[in-house]
This record gives sequence, structure tokens and C-alpha cells, in this order.
Amino acid sequence: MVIRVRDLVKRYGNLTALDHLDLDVQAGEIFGLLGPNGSGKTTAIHCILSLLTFEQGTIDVFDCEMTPDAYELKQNIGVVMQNVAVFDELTVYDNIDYFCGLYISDKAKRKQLVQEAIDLVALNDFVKFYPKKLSGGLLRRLNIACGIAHQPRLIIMDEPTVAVDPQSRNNILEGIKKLNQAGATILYTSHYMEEVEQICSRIMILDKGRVIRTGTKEELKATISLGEKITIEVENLPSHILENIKTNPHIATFDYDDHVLVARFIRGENGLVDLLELMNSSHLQLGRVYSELPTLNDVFLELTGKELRD
Amino acid sequence: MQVFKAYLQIIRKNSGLLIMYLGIVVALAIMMSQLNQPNQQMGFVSSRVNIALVDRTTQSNHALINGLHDYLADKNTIVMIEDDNQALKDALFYGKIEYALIIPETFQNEFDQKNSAQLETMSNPGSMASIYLNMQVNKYLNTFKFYQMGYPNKSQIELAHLTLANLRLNTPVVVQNKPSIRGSYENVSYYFNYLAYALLSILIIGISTCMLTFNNLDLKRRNLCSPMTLKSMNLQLIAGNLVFSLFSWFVFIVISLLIYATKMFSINGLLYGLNSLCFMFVSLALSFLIGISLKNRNAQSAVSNVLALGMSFIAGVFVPQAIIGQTVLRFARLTPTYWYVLANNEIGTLTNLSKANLQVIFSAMGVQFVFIAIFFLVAGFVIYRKRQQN
Ligand SMILES: Nc1ncnc2c1ncn2[C@@H]1O[C@H](COP(=O)(O)OP(=O)(O)OP(=O)(O)O)[C@@H](O)[C@H]1O
Ligand SMILES: [Mg+2]
Repeated sequence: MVIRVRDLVKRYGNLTALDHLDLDVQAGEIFGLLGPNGSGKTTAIHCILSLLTFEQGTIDVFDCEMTPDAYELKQNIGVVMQNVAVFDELTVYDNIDYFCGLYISDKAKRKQLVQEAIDLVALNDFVKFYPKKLSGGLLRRLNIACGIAHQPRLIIMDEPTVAVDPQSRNNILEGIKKLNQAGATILYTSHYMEEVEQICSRIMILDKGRVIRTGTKEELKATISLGEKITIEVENLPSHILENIKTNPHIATFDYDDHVLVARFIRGENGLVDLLELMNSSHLQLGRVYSELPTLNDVFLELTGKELRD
Repeated sequence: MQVFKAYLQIIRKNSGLLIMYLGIVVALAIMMSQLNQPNQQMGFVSSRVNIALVDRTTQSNHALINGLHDYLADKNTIVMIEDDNQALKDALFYGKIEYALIIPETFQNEFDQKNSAQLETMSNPGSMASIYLNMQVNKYLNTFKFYQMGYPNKSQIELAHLTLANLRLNTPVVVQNKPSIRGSYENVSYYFNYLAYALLSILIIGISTCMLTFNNLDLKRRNLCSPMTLKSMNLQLIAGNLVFSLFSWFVFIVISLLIYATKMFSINGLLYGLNSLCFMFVSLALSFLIGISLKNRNAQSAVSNVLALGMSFIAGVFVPQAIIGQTVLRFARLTPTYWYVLANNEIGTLTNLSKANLQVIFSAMGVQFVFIAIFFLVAGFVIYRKRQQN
């Protein structure tokens, strides 16, 4: 086990930021910690890194107890913090070199690693820039490069792609996958479900410091009652068809508004064919028809009664 | 060595501001040495002043006033101007005379009967000559009065003779001072006094900038995630502070060597160097204290200005300590700058290495070390408090 957290309780005064949290990250996986703002993702990561003291619980990294002076463990960990932590007085290159140098003292090797990190986040054109001159997204990319340049066995990333444009975000996500393929285990927090779905092999959903559910994205989606969501554009839906839909036991909810029918099926029921046949029998003119699988947002919505995004 | 390296990089990024302070000191020191060409006139020579004397008394017995006339004529040049206020004013205005003394009609009577008698004078505003002449007039009249009271039976003429004879006695005064020493180190003292302002400003800004950077919560956390031990990080920061301070001091010494050349290769030069090294440690300790107390950079320049400029003003960096008021100086004693400047001035006038002379200098340096200890103790306390809060 790369990270093993048991019964972790962290309080800020009266507020319980982490409420008996258990977490296991296995070697080789990209583990996603998904939760809305204030759910305790950052707090969990700070506890894992021994940056915070906590009320209760145990934390092991690489099967050793994590403590503030577990320097040998830290040697193998790369960190990308939610708040960008770089030196304003150092250039992009010098910043990456500084942080890489905290782990790698051999100069030649470091030079190579720094270059690889620059390539990974595509900052080649900006190596001489000072952080103040970088846009928000570029700064995030620098922050990532500083965290991963020494190619650690475990990489902990706390919302590393906030404010990064979709193009660069994809580059970064691809980069993270590459790091993972090269052998790094990754703990990744985000409140972007698409991101987590795209790269994480296992996902933990966190809310108010409590674990809501853990599993692969398929497993998570399988735990909820909702299945696919079908959208059909249709002019003037006759009332007998609406009645038919209303009484269909496989449809959980539906809505017809502005010539668009949205029907949510119960999980496990493939309703698309039935629904289309029903429409056909009445010779209705159909516009676009599409079907969507449930998202993690649906999972979150059903489990907590609220949207993942504010 | 990453932290140490980054420390120096941060300093280099801020070097523009630091060099500016260096420039201020060098410019001030050079300006002062131009203004302060050593004064060659060592003794005191009374200079003659053109004056007018208008006698409006009508009595026949003129011995008192004649004596005054003779006495003033001895020391000044009496210019004849007609007895007319406008004419006297014109003469003053055109510089024919610098001072006019008008003896009113009633003067003789008042002088004989009362203890005070009024004289009228005219001079240009702020004139030094008027002060000097008033002194001469008063001196004559007081001496005359003194004899008059001592010898109530003597005639006015006799009294005037006695008075003049007395006043014409001159005591020769010789100002003893080796001209080669006095003045020659004055400019060096100016330079090293200004150094107190610049070095303190430079160290406060440089050190507090680095401390603020490394104490920034996000960067600190990030550093704490690395395998670098806390001890190693602190040692590197200390090394950075020390190297930066020593380097700044060294630059000032090199510049002093360039400006004053051979003067610096002397005992005085050595003492200046030693004293400024003491002050460097004072500045280092104070900057360290400020660096860990400051929360962000907003207050940084305000603190550096208030402390460096404020202490410099009250402790006699820009204005000689000799002309600063006693109350202010009493406050100034509570600043390390005062003792640094005191030692500098002492070094500047040092002519021989007597035990007494050196003792003043070394005890002033000792007081600076007390300040160093106090600053570090307070800093330690601040760190301790911060740790407890976290
Ligand atoms: N230093 C602190 N003092 C008091 N409360 C805190 C502190 N840090 C975090 N909290 C609280 O703890 C809870 C969890 O915060 P945390 O930063 O871990 O959330 P998060 O999941 O990382 O949120 P985000 O997505 O916004 O980064 C929040 O309610 C927050 O207000
Ligand atoms: Mg967070």
C-alpha cells in the first residue's frame, strides 16, 4: 500500500474537517479524491504530508509511519499544492531547478530532469520568465513542474489544473498519465468530475470530511439508481404518449419542455429502443436523439442530495 | 545548498534597490567632503567693523561718552554720518556701516542715577556685527559702572581712564591643536556615519525580503514536504544572512578605501572598520528580528525607513551629535546607532592611542554588542511564540 489512512479525524476548532477518514492508495494507480469546495481534500493531503497535526488516526506512506521528520519517505514524494508555491525572484527554470535540487543533488542528472519537466508542462518558451510575468494557467504548469521534476514514486496533486485552459489541461492530464505509466502512483484531488473520470482508476467521493463512496467510476455509477438519460427533440408530443411515458415503470423522471423530451431511466434498463418504437408508432417527426450515461455529478447528487458544482 | 543559492538569487533580484542606498551614501559622503574643506583659520581674530556713533547728549561733562568713543574706535572704524535717522538707515543699507549707536540726550543722567540706561542701536537684521558691538558697548559701560561704584569720589575723567586701561589689557589666547590631525579624519567620519543609515536600510530590506519569502506559508509548506531537514534549511538561511551582510559591509569598506585611500591604512582606519563591523552585526540582528516579525511586504519599506532614518536622525548621523538637544540625545542613547556614531566621532578625533581614548571607543562597541544580544533574544522569543501558536 502506498498510502494508508485509518480513522483520521482533523478538527479546526468546532469544525470537523475530516470525520473518521479511511483511505487506501495502491501502487500504480491514479487515485482521485473528488469533492466540492470545503469537503476536506486539502486538509486530508496536508495531514498525509505531516503538515498538519490531527486529533486521531494513523497515516502510513510506503508502509512506514509518516512523520514531519520522515525525510526518507519525503524523498520519494512529489507534491503539487493547491496554492502555487514558487519563488517570485527566481525564473521558471531556476524555480524548477530549486525544487528538483531539494531531492536530486547530482547536477547533470538534475539538468536532464528539469528539462523533462519543462517538456512535460510545455513551458519551453517561458524558461527565462519570472512567475509574476506568467498567466494564471502558465503559473499552474510551473507549479506542477516544480512538484514532479524529480520523478518521485508517489505524486500528490491538489487541484493542479484550476484555471488552466482545456488544451493545456489535456496536455497536463496526458502528462500525468505518462508519469503514471512510468511507475508513479498518483493521488489526485479535484472538483472537476470530468477530469477525475478521464484519468483516475479509482475515485473517492468526499463531502464534509466524510467518505461518501469509493470505487472505479463504473462501480460508483453502478451504486446509484439512475441509469441513462435520453434526450429527444420532438414537435408536439401527443398527450397519450406523454401518459404512456408517465406510467412507464422504467422511467424515473421525465420532462417535456420547449419541444425537448428528457427522460431518465432507472439503472439497468435500456429504454432507448422502447422509447423510439413508441414514437415511431405515432409517426412523429423526430429531431436529434441522444443518450447519456450517468456522470459522477449524478452520483454525487443522488448520494448527497446536492450538486457537485456550486 | 538550494536554499542558500536561492537566497543569493533573491538578493540579486533586489540588488537595484540595494545599490541605490549604496549610491546615496557615497554621494552624501563625497558631497560633504566637498562642503567641508578643513577650516584653516584656527585661532580667534577680532575683525574691525564700520560703525557710526551719534551723540545727542548736551551736557559738557563728556568723559563717559568720550571713553566709549575711544574704546570703540580702538576696535572698530568710526564713520562720520550726520545725525539723521534716514541717513543712518541709508548708510546701513548701502553697507557704509554695519552698526549705529545713538546715545540719547538723557543717557548721562540715567547712567549716573539708575542702574540701567537706554541706548539706541541700529543694524541690519540678523547682523553678527550688532551682537558683537552690543557686547563691546555693554562691556565698557559695565566696567565703567563698576569703577564708579568702587570709587565714588573719582571724577568721570579718572573713571574713564581706569576703564579704558582695564579694557585694553589683552590676554593672548593660543589654540593648541595639531592641524595635521584635526580635520583630516572628519570626512571619513562623515562617510562612516552615513554608512549607519545605508547599511541598516540595505540589511533590513535584503534580509527581511528573504525571510518573508522563505516564511511564506505556501513556500514553507512546500519546503517542509521535501527531504531537506529543518535544521539544514535554517543553517542555510543563517549562512545567507551572514554572507549577504558581510558582503554589504565589505563593499562599503572597499569604497572607503577608494575614496580615502591612504587615510584608511592607519589605526583610525582599522578602528572605523571594526566599528562598522560591529554595526553590521547590529543591523543583521535587527533585520532578522524585523524579518520574522513582519507579516507581509506592505510594511517593509515603512519599517525600514522609520527605523533607519529615524535612528539616524536622532543619533547624529546627519546632524552632529554636539548640536542635538539633550532630551533627544537621551532617547538616542537607547539606539545602537548612537553608540556607533559616538565611536566614529571618537575615532575621527583620535590623536593618540591613550588608554582613555580607546576605552571610549571600545565601550561604545561593547554597547552595540549588548544591542545585538537583545535583538537576537527578542527574535528568539518571537519565534518561540509563533511555534506555540501553530
Ligand atoms: N486553517 C483553517 N482553519 C479553520 N478552518 C479551516 C482551515 N483550513 C480549512 N478549514 C476548513 O476546513 C474545511 C475543509 O477545507 P479544505 O481546504 O480541506 O477543503 P477542500 O476540499 O480542499 O476545498 P477546495 O476545493 O475549496 O480546495 C473547510 O470547511 C474549511 O473552511
Ligand atoms: Mg483544497
